[in-house]
Amino acid sequence: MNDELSWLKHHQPQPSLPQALSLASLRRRRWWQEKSLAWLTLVSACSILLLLAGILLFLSWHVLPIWRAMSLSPDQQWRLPEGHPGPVMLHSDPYQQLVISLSKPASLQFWQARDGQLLQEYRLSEQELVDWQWLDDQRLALLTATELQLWQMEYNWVQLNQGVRLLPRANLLWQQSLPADFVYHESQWSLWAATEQQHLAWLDQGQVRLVSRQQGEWQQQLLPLAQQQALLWHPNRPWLLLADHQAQVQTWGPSAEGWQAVGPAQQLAHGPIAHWFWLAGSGSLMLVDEQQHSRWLLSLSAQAEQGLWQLAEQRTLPSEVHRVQAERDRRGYVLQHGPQLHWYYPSARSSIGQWAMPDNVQLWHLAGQNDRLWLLDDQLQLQSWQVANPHPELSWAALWLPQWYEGRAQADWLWQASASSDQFEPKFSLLPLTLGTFKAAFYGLIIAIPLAILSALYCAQFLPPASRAWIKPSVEMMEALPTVILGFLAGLWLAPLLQLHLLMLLLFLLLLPTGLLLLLLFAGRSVRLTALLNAWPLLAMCALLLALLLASMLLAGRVEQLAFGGDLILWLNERGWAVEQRNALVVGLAMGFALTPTIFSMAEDAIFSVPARLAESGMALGLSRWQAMIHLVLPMASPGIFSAVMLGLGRALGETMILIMATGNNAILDFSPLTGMRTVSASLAIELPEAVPGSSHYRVLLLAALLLIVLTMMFNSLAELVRQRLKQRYSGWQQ
Amino acid sequence: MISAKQTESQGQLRATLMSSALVSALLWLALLLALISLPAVQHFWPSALYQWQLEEQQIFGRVLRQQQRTANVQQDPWLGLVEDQPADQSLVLLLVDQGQNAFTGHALNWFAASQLGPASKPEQLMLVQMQRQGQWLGMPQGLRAEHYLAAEAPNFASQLHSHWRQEQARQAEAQRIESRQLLGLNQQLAQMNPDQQGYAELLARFESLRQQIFQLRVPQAWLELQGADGRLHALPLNEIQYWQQPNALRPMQQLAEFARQWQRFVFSWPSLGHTQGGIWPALVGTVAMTLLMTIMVMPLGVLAGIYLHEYAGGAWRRLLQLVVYNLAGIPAIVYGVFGLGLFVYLLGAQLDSWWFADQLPRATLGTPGWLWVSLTLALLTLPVVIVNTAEGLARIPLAQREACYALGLTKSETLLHLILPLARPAMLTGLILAVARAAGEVAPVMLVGVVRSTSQLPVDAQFPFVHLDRKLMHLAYHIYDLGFQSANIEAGRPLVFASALVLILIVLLLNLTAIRLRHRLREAFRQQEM
Repeated sequence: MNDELSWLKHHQPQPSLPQALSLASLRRRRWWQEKSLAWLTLVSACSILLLLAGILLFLSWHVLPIWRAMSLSPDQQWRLPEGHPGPVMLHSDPYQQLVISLSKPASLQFWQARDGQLLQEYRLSEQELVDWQWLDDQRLALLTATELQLWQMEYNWVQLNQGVRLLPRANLLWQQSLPADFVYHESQWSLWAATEQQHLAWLDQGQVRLVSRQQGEWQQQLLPLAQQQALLWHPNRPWLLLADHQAQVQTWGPSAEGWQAVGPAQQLAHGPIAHWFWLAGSGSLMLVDEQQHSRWLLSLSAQAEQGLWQLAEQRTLPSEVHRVQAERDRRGYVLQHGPQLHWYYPSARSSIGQWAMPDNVQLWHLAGQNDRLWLLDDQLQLQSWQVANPHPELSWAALWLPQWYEGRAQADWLWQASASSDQFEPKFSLLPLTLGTFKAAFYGLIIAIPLAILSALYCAQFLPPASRAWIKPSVEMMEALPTVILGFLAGLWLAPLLQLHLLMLLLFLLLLPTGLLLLLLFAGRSVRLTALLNAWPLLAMCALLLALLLASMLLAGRVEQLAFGGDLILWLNERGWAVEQRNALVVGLAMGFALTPTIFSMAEDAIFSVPARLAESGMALGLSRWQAMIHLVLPMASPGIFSAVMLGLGRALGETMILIMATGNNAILDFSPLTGMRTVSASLAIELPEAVPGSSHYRVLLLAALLLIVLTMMFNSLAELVRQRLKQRYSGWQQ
Repeated sequence: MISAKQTESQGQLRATLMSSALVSALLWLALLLALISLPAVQHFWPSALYQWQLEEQQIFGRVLRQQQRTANVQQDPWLGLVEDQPADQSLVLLLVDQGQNAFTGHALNWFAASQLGPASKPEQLMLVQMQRQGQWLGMPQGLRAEHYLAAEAPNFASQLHSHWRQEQARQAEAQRIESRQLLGLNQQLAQMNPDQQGYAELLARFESLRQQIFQLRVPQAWLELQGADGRLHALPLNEIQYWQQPNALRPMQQLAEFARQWQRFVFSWPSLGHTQGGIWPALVGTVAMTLLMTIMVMPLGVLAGIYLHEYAGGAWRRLLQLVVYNLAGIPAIVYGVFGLGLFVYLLGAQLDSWWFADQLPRATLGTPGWLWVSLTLALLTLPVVIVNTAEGLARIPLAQREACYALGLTKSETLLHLILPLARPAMLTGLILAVARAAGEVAPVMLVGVVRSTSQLPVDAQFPFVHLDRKLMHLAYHIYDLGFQSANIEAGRPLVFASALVLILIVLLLNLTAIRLRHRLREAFRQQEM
């Protein structure tokens, strides 16, 4: 130990503290205080790391299931009772409570899904069952050798002492003996039924026969066609689709003069049609032939003939298709190739998932909300499998590539996510939202960047310190203005005003730079004018701006009369420019106002912190103050200005209230200044409270939020890194 | 490189022209403030009530706006009145507020000034604001009490006032009985079994109290007002909020009335689909929200700020700074999304199943509410507090610390006894800016607990007095709702401007205070450094 300090060891200062508090305990207390403060602050600081990580993790956690591959897991199984003749068809109710089976010695049975208890049984007929057909989820048409029956399923929840249970019922709607010449061939008959009319169509050696009942009478008819191969009814209208061996498809419908062809015949496939069916919502016709399966939509464009089918997508098949099933309430479908099941969705480019069934499977049925698969094997064992396929409508292609939605004239990027009914096809293209976000940011920045940077340069370099002391805070005060107020003014005051005086604004935006340029060229020659302007710069510019505004106001009416026939908006409309009241110009002005102080404040700091010695030494060498600024200060400050712009961009992307209130919120795909937009942030604010947690809509919104966060973090990090480097550079200068 | 010789004044001229950007930004700000405050001020000024004659019909009303129309007026579908006007004759249109009407409700109509003819301003013309039925305009005829005419216009002001006072007192009494006695009784009754002893007595007391309240709420006097259509309306005094005869007011009285109007606006509840009344619950909601937020954000933000400036160093510090700036840059709406998904849907639902399982499926915390709004906003404003604390600490001269260390103080002692007290204004600045930010934020709060209208305040006399699970009203959201969601935008428009003015005043005042505080801190140490 050092001799000089050895006195510390022996020296015992008289503690001035109370006797109870010894020096050791004091030391201990100080040590504890030191450590605990350090730890406490460390924990708090780590909590901000946690927060950022938490936000990112939370969003990712909810977004990832979108890309989780489809999977199946076994659930329960039970056996049909001994001596059961074996079902020929399986079906289910919409509530996932029951399994419905149909067997040849005509009976219809309802089983409890979880334990295989027989709940109801209906003897359908004395005769053996020949064929059956589901008209929709509730109605089942049955064919015996001599009779046609239509049954309606009914499900009621009843309160029993064990709890609530679903009680099924089947009602016979009507039965009718078959016409004498009815010929049965597999899948070559089809029934269409509504309360007031029923039509039965079947194929008889390539000819189409029809029996219709209207006003209680059955009438038989032979359609003048031959060589027909397949028939299909439209689910909602009595339209019969007929196809011959070359897949020439022709639609027939009833009219006052009997059945007639509706629209032209059209070739939809190359060979005979193997299967055809409607997707949920009955807007899309699916067609499966030997090599391909394709989706067709009825043409909507005015030019094309009515009733023409348009090809939406076409995909090749790996092998022959044995059975098909369309999913319930959404537009997916399942194709069976041998023992393989393939899941498809129109917007997904390839199959969503595939699964090999056990070898001995006789029948399969996709039940519930498309999340349960029932299999029947040759031992009369019924197995149910959970199908995890919650988001088939979301895929990279569905989010970013054009999709041909039902009821549209061509493939397009559309955002229309909220469902008004089960039949609604959700449209989840993120492109219009992303583009809208960038469009709003672009128009906002176009206004904010020149305004903010020029202001910052002037404020930092030319303003006397006394003026700067109040001008800088008042510009920064603009940042504190709640954006809801800006949005409200933009939407309710500026937008209607601009609609009336659009030309005035355009003229002003044109006159301003020309006016300034002219003044620079000509005023510079007159010493007195220059001196006058320089003496009261702010006042002079105030007067100039007001004068230009007045001039554009006076000119606008004249110009509108002369050049645009009295009405600019009408003139634009006639030339194919859509003009909306809440448009990008309005948004740009409001956003510009919100962004200017952000950029200004950062840029001003960057310019002001360039050491004054730099400009001074330049001026000592004969540069004017202006030249010193342009050639010395500006290059030094440019990284800082860049980081200010990045910060502004980050803020522009995330701005919400102005965009909800002033954009019109139409998810359109263009960059015109005269139309509105819908942005990611506005969609989040409007739609998220209504989206069901866990639904595709919810996840896609969270994906949009993640996208937003990643974009803003990118720009913010860039800004902050540049700022940190700049700070280091100047700290070197100062020394 | 720099070739052209430039005189100082030429360079200065360029700078002058450049200042047009700054000027236009400032002009924008001034225009905006004027745009907000003028309609807000105008709405509460007791403006003149007019009487017109439109053909056979008499019209009472106040002019809200004037507009010049020039071309093609008769094509306007909503201008049925002026069909016979020639196409390009310039036309002055007046938006007239005719007050409540027994048949059509609140009437706001456009009239052509030329059709209305000369206006007169009768001194007697009175505007009566009712609690539930809007504003009535008319000529007062007298005061009716029970079945006799108590006083006749025009000299009945004192009579009217004293009767109105009595009615107010009766209302207050009814309110008092309801909240102090009736509610408690009701709760007692709800918990009792009808067969239990004493139930019948309690029920009888409950009934008698209800009778009493009912009696108190029966109006005792009516103001008779003759409307523009000549009908006599009897307006019950207990429903009347206020009345004014603006045409008879002298300038000072007008000013007093103006102040009273503002007071009513700030302290009353909104009514009639938010087109009338005030912003009291929205103000209380905003304050409650920011208070709870402050409690949550301040300790964490200040401690993190201290760590950032005092303890962290090197790359670790730069990383933390980067994180803080990124947090500050995350769009507010994303915080709302985070709050909704994590706090409401996950955390709230979990807490419900632990603590409020008996009330399920009615969600207590698993639904947007005060707690979650405040928590979300606390996260949102965390970077503001951190940055301001760290900046404040950075301003304290090194000499101060060195002096402390020289005296043998530890780092924590230096911090606690010297640095932090000195940096207090900086923390206060951070707090104020955070509050200002929270007060103006709409997008996140509408996801996690702010609603368009509530019937209860978050803090009241009901146990447990502070209701963290309640939904709030919020001033900024109120503006959005009034301006864009309300059914009758035209009728609510003046109130939007007034609410916006209140919000701007609050936010700007907070910001000004913050700027002053920061300035003071800066100046204090600038002198020390020299």
